[in-house]
Amino acid sequence: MQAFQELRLDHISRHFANHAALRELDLTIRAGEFISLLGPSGCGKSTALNCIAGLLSLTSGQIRLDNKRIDVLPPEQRGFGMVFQNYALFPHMSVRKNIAFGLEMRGVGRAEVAARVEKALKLVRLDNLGERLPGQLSGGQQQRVAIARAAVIEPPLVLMDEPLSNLDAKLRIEMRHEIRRLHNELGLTTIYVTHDQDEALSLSDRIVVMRDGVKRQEGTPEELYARPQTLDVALFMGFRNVLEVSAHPAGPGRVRAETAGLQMEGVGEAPVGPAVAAFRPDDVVLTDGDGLPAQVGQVEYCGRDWLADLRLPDGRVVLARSHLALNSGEAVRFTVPADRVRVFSGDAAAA
Amino acid sequence: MQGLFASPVAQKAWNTTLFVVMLFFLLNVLAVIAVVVVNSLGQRWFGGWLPDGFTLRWYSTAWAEFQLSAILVVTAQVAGAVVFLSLLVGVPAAYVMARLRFRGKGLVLLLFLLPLLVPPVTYGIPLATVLYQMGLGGTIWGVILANLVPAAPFVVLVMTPFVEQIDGKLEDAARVFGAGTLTIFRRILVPLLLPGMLSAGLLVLMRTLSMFELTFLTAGADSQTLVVALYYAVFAAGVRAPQSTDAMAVVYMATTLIWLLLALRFVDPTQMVGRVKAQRA
Amino acid sequence: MSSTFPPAAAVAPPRPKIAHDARAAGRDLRPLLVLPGLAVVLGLFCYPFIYGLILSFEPLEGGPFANYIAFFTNSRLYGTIGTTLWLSLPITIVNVGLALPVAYALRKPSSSQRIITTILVVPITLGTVLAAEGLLSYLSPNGWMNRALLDIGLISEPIRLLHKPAAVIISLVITGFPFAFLMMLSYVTGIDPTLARAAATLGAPPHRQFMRIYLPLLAPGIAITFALCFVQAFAVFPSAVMLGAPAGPTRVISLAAYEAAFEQYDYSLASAIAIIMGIVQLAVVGAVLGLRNFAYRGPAASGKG
Repeated sequence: MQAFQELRLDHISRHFANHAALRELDLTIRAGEFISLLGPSGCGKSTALNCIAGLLSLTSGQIRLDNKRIDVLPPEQRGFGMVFQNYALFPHMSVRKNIAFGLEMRGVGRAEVAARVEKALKLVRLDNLGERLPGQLSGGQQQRVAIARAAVIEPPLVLMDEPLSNLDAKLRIEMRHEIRRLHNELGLTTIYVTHDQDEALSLSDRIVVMRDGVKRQEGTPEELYARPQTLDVALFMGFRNVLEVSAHPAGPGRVRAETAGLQMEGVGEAPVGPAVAAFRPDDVVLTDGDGLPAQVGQVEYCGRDWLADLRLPDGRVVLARSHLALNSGEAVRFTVPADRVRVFSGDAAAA
Repeated sequence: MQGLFASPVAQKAWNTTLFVVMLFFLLNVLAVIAVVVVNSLGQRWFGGWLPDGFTLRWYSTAWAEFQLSAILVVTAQVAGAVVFLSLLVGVPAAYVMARLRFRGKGLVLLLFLLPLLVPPVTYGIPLATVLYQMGLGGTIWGVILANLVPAAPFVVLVMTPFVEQIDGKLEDAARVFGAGTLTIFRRILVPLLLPGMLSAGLLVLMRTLSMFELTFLTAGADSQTLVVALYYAVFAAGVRAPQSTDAMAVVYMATTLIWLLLALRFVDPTQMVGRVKAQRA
Repeated sequence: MSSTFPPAAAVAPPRPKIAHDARAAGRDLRPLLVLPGLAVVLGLFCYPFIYGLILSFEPLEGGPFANYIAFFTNSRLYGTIGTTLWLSLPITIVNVGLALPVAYALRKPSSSQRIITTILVVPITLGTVLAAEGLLSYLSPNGWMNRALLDIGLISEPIRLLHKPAAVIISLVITGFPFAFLMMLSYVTGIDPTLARAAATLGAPPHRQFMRIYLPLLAPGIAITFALCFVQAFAVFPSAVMLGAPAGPTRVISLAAYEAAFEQYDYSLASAIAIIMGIVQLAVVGAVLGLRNFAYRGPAASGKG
């Protein structure tokens, strides 16, 4: 493994014609970390990854590997490993040849190539498929080849561009596990691009949430899950209920949110001007007796629980997840625990 | 008119008419070709449906009279060189046209389309003038260069969709794993483009074999291809037995149709007409 | 290879993700790969054309326009435009007009489609010289065609077709129709047949499927086919000499250019004629393509499409 301390993205930007796909991204990746770039499509996460790989040049900023500036190098001289969204396996080469490709480009001797390819095949559990062509493999197997091809060169950095998006749901969870196992076993440093928050939460040491080419928040999965700092990050992290409120300070770090008879305690500073309160459907607690009155609207059965529209007296709708069966038309009361409510400035219509 | 075609009976009548017209056309085409073959094998043919008897003698006569072996060598050299050179310059250009966006690309595409849209006689005369002035007129190199004018753009147009079919991410992957442009061509693109290059090469070969105008305008006495020699033979008819000219025509047909048979295994007949994608300009 | 024709390409989804024109880091020298191909076109096509254009204004004698004045005052020269147009325009209309319904009828893959395209590709591959050689025997007074007509009783004595415009016209059909057909077929098969099926589910009978779905989508293809067929027919050369009457009724413009260059060695006049030939072709092609735009936009503008 090529040892390095950190990869530094120093205010990197990338423009396409007049459109800024990536703006002033500033990020440090330490050796051994698993870091995810998370965001909806078009948020700049793939652009950032391609800039790191060298497949796109920077419009401004610098990329440094320790003290060496690498943004001026073409991709073939950066020495990173990359796993592509649709794998990009060379269709005319056997699995073995695909995995050997990077080593051959580095001028590694034939015997060593064979040995390392064999080891990589074992690692991804494809020992007996080495002579197959990629077209003869299933999606999951192709995915493993793509990972082996990137890992075998023992790169300082492995870049993964939505590697699981072409797999079905079951395989996705299995491969997710596999990716983290390889990362740990091989001591890799991984930058992982995804639009799937579950994937990012379960895999990463650190997550960078992006939107419109800008980094919105950076933190551990726990931080992002519990304490999104902006409304759009909150929305992306599953805070599906957003209500316009009037907010007042209620002690340090706490805020009281009020709307149409609905009183909520929340976490955050009381913003000046219009405010919204956001919380997850999972955090809605149905109560007997106290709490806010609502009428159950449409109910979706999700297997383990139910997802229901709760219609407030003023007509607004709150999504709630319930472990008890709910019937449309039923009258219920609910509360939301204060530490699960986030209050942001802004207006709900814009969300 | 709509009422006319509305009923199933009219529809059927219409289709039958088309079928009959087509059959008549195909019969005539086959007859025009067959008459050449029959005549080349005939002893004497006065008036009847078939010659009085059959013989292979006209082939040996033609072979000697027209110096067919020399002509075939020239034809092979011209066709081989044109195929090789047009692939050599056309495939990289097709790569650029398929993959890259750059200033003036529309103009470049137009430049590649024009030699295919303008008929050879139109540009052949100024081209021949320039080649003669350069001292290449009448030489085999002049013939090769002239044939390259439609062949190279043809390769570009045929190969562009083949390049487009290859996922650009493959090149990205190769590059990330350490391959430079040359290595990418050698290890990734050329192997994946081989089927396309085979099709393009065969099509160019056939087009060159049957390219009359450009070769006619630039060839000298010892740089004629078969089709031009055939024209001169017909032109100078009367000196020689028509059967011997037809024997030569059959030799020409055979050299061309062998490649056609081979080509039809790889390409769709509609590709023979060049499948011009002019609208993309 | 599957067909990727413009009509199909128009509805294809945009290319995904990062565009590959996006420049990678480091210097990208790949655009230079176009240069050898471009050099062939610039050096052997554009340069000769420009050279010819300049040469045409440097006549052997007289002022700069002497060649053009000579062309348009000598009926043996200017007459060739009419002669060639008279041969090529009607033939192109017939070829394309016939190719469209036949190609449409054969749009579904079938063995007859395969057989017909395979037979039709033969005359294209063999070219005009061989077709002319065959027609010389086929159309002769003792040839199979006259023999067949005599035997059926349609004629009482052989009709003479050789060395008349008729023979040239027949040769233009023999080589031109297959070309038009294959081009039309490539455009017709490039149209997604589910469009017509969708129209059928909405109540369109077959002829309306053709008029409302296929024809508008085919309009660009018809225009291109017409333009290419015309340009080829207009450049008719070997068959006009071999089958026609090159001294008179089938003295086509390319023959005039050839004679100027290789019989009178007046390259200047030959270039002038070649330029005029190019201009006439451009004019007709421009008119056809202009018409296509007009025809194509019509239904869209009326709000019915």
